[in-house]
Amino acid sequence: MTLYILRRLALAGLVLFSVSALTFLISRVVPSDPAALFAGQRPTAEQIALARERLGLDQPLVVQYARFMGDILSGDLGISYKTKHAIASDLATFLPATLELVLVSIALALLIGIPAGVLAGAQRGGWFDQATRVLSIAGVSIPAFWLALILQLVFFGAWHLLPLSSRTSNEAAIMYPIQAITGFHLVDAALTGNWTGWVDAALHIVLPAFTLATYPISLTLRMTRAAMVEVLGEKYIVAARAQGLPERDVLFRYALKNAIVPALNVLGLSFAFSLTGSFLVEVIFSWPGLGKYVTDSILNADFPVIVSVTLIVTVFYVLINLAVDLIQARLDPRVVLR
Amino acid sequence: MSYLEVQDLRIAFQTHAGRFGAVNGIDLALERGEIFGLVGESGCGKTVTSLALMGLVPPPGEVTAARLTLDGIDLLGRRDWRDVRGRRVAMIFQDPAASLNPTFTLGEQLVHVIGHHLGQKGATARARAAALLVDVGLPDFERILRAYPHQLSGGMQQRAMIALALASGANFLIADEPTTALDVTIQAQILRLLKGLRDKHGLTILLITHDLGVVAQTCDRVGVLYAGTLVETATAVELFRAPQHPYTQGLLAALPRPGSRGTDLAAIEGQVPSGMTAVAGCPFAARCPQVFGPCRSARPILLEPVAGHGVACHLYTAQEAAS
Ligand SMILES: Nc1ncnc2c1ncn2[C@@H]1O[C@H](COP(=O)(O)OP(=O)(O)O)[C@@H](O)[C@H]1O
Ligand code: SF4
Ligand SMILES: [Mg+2]
Repeated sequence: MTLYILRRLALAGLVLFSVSALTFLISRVVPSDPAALFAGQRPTAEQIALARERLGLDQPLVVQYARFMGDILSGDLGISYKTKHAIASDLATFLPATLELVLVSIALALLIGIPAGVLAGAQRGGWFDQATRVLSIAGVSIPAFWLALILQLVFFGAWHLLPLSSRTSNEAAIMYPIQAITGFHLVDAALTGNWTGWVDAALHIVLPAFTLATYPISLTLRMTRAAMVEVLGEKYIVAARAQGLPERDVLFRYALKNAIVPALNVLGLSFAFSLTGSFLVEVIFSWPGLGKYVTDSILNADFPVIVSVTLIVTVFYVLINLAVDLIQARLDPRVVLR
Repeated sequence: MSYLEVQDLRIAFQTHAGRFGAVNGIDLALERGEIFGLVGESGCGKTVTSLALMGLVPPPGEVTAARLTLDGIDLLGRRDWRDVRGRRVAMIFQDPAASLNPTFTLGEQLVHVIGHHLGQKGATARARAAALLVDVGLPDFERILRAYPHQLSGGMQQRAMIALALASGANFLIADEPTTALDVTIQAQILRLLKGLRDKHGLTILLITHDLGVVAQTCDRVGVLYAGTLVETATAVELFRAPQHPYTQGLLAALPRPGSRGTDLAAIEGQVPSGMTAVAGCPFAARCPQVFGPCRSARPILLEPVAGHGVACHLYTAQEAAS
């Protein structure tokens, strides 16, 4: 087990190395001049040359790459060409907001997609199955921006139930500011007992999280349903019913434990997918996460930022896949970790 | 009144090709404490009959009967089976590996059933689980409780399945081909275990099998099923000593004997009629070596030319009418 985890982590290191090399290469072959950007507005040729030297862009590629890797390994992600801030501190500002949004949306997918999938599979062909089939097809095909607008129109515009955008309301930010501890508003507010601030943050996260979650909810639901249909045909389910166990136990305990693995795989992939998928949603809901930071960096060819964010996303991707594999092995004793 | 009473049990499946009668009117009466064998070829309706006793016939199956009672309680048209499944009737299956949940340890499965039916938790429940395992011949219970089903041999899995079936305190056990997937020595051990449990706990057992050898080793009485109808019923001793129905006679003639090469039930020539087309006469007519006049037009009913020995065949209808 420990050996398996170590081997997977070593493999993860290899993946990270390749991804870093690839993004680095791509960032150096695209025709743009980071030095000109770094030198500020309307730079002279001398200023640009100076900037090039400071950034080490006059060195051979191999040297540049070695320096870049050396910095990263020592925990230094470099500085943004545009903002001149240390990227690490920029990420510390923006990443928690994005992560919080993604985590809430994955939690929604887990809490809605899996039970709904279980019930749909249990009454295959029934009205609930039909209804969730239609809804989940809609869920995977509706563009996020359109869904976001509809949700805003209905829940903010028509019913005044939920805020339009941003992470907190101005009043709450002034009257009940959330003290930053982890950077996750919901966690920090709860830790400090700031319940007014917590409710405000919770209301703000509902619409963007739901928008982001529609795809994973739909996918999880369908995967769970398909797996349930298969598992419910197994002999041990007939046996469990013959033992007189209540239907709730048969479905959510005896069957679900055998049917949940495909859904977990989908959720794991969705997590990584949502990290980048959230950027659009963040822009629509003025969510102060990585979205705007990354969009700006791309528009400005701010390579250190692009490379750093790519690496962060890769790290999450690798770790989550490892976690999903470990959970799978825990759920099914027949799975051998190799 | 018998412990289990079944009268005119019919089970039909509505398929796109038409209505398929899997069981076409069978009568059974089991006495408390006996082991009753239900024998027949694959597909003759043994499993659906047993599932009907627990309300577990899968859709689109429809179950009707003139009477269906267990220990005085009515099983007919029941919506709420909580009082029956596990509590009064337990079931074990042909393939123990597939009938045990692969993702829970046997301890977890036993404790869960015990908790649900007897309300026992924690150490009390575990103690009962251990006692059950000892009862079914698994004295190494500490290891078994922690094991997942795939870590046990087939014989141990079936023993564990029996423990799980008995965990809820049922007095009636349906064993659907419990030894078919096991090799011969293990098969004999499991059958001996079932007999022992009957003696020790006063269980009533409906033992379903396609193997007359199993019947001979274990059963007090036997019913022979053919194409969803009961063609002969007698004590096991009587059935082997003086089989009456041509089908049973054929089965016994096909039994492997020392010196001859063994064959299975299907050794009788011809095919079982598909339940799709309602047969007017005797369902065995197409394969019967003694088929005669009335066989193809009138369906023989189960009569008892000799007390306690029922047979559904026109050879005996005539005899009875004459006497
Ligand atoms: N779910 C079902 N749908 C349609 N037909 C079924 C179903 N289950 C059983 N049958 C039919 O009922 C008949 C009896 O099946 P079964 O009781 O399993 O036979 P046995 O246990 O004697 O081998 C078979 O011909 C089978 O095709
Ligand atoms: S009724 Fe006729 S066909 Fe049927 S078993 Fe008896 S003799 Fe054979
Ligand atoms: Mg069967």
